[in-house]
Amino acid sequence: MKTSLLLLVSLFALPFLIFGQGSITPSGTPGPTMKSLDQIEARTPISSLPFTISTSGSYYLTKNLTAAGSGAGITVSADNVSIDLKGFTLTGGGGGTVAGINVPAGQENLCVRNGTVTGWTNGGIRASNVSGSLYENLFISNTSGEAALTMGYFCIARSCVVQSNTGGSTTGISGGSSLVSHCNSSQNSGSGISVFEGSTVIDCVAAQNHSNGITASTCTVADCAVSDNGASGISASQGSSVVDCTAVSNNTGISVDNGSSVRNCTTKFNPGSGIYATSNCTLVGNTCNGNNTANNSANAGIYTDGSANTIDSNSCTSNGNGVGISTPSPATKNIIVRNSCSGNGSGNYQVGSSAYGPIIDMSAGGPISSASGTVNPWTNWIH
Amino acid sequence: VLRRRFGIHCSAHLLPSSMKARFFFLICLAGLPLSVFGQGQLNPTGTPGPTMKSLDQVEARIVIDPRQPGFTYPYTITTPGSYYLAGNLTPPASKIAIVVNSNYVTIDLNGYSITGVNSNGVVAIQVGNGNIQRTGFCFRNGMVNNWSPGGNAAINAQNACGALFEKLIVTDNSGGPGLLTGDGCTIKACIARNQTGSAGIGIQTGNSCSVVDCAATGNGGAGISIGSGSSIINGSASGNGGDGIDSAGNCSIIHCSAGGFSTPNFGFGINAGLTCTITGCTATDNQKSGITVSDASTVNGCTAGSNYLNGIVCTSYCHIINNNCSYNDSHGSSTNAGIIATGNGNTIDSNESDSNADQGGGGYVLSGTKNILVRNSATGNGYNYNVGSNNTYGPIINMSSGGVISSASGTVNPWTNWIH
Repeated sequence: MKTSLLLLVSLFALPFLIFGQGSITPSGTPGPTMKSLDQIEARTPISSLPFTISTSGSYYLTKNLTAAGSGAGITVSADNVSIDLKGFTLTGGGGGTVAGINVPAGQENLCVRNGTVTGWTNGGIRASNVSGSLYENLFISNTSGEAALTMGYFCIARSCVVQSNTGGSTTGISGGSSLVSHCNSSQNSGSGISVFEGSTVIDCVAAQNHSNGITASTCTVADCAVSDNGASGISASQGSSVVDCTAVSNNTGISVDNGSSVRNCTTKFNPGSGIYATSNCTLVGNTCNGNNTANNSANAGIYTDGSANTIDSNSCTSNGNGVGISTPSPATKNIIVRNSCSGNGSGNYQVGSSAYGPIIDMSAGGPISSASGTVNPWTNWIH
Repeated sequence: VLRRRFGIHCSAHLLPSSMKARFFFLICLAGLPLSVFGQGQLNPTGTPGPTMKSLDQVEARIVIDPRQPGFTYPYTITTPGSYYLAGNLTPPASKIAIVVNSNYVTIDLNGYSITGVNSNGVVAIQVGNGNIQRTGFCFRNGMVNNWSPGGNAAINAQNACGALFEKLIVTDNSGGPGLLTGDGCTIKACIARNQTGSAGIGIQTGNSCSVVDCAATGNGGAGISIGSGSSIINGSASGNGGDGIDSAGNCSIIHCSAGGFSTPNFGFGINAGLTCTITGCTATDNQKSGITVSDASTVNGCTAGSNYLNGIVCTSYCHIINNNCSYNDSHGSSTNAGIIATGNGNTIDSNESDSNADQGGGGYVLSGTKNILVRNSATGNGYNYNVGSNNTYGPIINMSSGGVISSASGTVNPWTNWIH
């Protein structure tokens, strides 16, 4: 009986002995089968202030952060740094004259995005020492100092709102050889946007700033709307282009100098002149209506006291008690052709010693015909 | 009670006899409806479902993590998908960081940088290879710097067609372009700065590409160089060793700035090929000319001032209209001018060209034939108009003393060119 039982057990075990299971030693250490939390959010968290970044990398806020002590909120002392505010707010108020994000020495390649910086006393983001930076989707408000967002050279600011930075004469956004696009910079105590050296300002709004809406030197300013600024809506100098912009209710609408151009712009309700130019500027195709709300007879729809400007094909109407187009002494060598003016309180044209097309009054209406002596192609119209 | 209250007729013998028992019976009777209407199926309908996101759902993308054991360079992508960095990539000497050998790949740098270390001869990113092109590539959100790719580009994506590059900062690479793309790509909100050497172009595209909201500065070569049929909109290109913007034929360049007093381009501000359109741009203080265009191009509404040589130079069959070209000719010779047409058949209309006089330069120079010059103005140049033979031009009338333009002064010709 015992023998039979042993035989049966052996018989059942046979298949297991024949089909072996291989080595049971693992081929190596177990590999990761899931992402770690460090991989899911690999970036370095910033959870308190002050915070110093001295290593290149990608950082993010974990919550709203408020200044503690009298230092800058975040100090950047490394190249190649990205800071994602992640929708949170960096709030100042810890004392001292400090910035929300400060770059104290020369660095390269900073990126700040996606959040609010408010209440700091030496600028929201003070990064004039950084070349090649990208700022986007930021809201910067209630800061003081030189500028709310101080960029260095070769930077991009896009889709930023910079508002109500009012300590001293705080500019909203400043930078050189940079691009500012789709930004709104308003209610700042300095200029809304101040750029220079081959910068481009495009599709921006600058309103209710205490100084100029946009200040630009050797720049392109296009498709912008500026209103209710304390000085000029746009002040562009040294060979700048101002194209397709609207300037309403500033002191002066658009002010340009030294070989700059203003084309296809609209100025309205500015207490001073609609467009002011110094020398060698081209003013073509602009509409200046209802400016000189201050009713100063020295203002005009278009005004220059400089020389060698071309004023061509503009429309200047109802500029209060001012002049439509005015080039008074000491202005010389300007040329005024093919413009149209109407309803300006102190006369439609004050040409001084400029060259100008004949000024023909057609305000009574009627056909423009040789009989009325108006076929001169350079005629400036009163209508 | 039942009979009185509810009209239920019960035989007396059906009710319990004692008071307590009757009360208990009534309570049970009142509870009957609750027992009749049961509470449904107690068995679960299935296995319990997930109530939280898994980690893989929180971050579904594929991680490129240089800290991971066994991570090696190059990180090679052979499967379509969405990838992201979990740290800076700093490959060892002579190693590529990432190779993309698949279509439909997105790489999010996640704010990190890809930095070269003794990277002689290798690139940071290689997309496709040889004749193998890749489509659907997207690369964004970070920095690529310090590569020495030996004449190649740091981001070598010329085999990427229909790709998107955005929010990149590409700097300090040497010997080749910072970013090189294939055809049909979009490059958006990128900064390309300080690529070194004459081949160190900031951004170089293939054909039919769009470059939007980009800044390219301080590169050894051109700032931005685009292939045929491409466009650059809203750009800034200053301080480059070559041209600020350099384009092949059939391109549009709109609302761009090139140059600056302390950041001039050492070449041309904008140098465009055949059949290009340059609109609303500013080219100032460049060390060659402000804007040059080849045959059948249009330059409209631009400002080209204070350049070392000329304001605008065109070859043949171009339309140069509504531009201001002043204060050029600070270097070179009296052959410079605000606007020069070197070839034939150009239309030069309604421009202003003033004070191009430092070296005795001119306002307008037409050195070819069959050009037409009308309705322009000039003043303060070394000479205002130099119109060669066999060109058509409106009368050149000197009104520099001011006064009315009238038939009495013989100036009613609608095509008059002015000296003022």
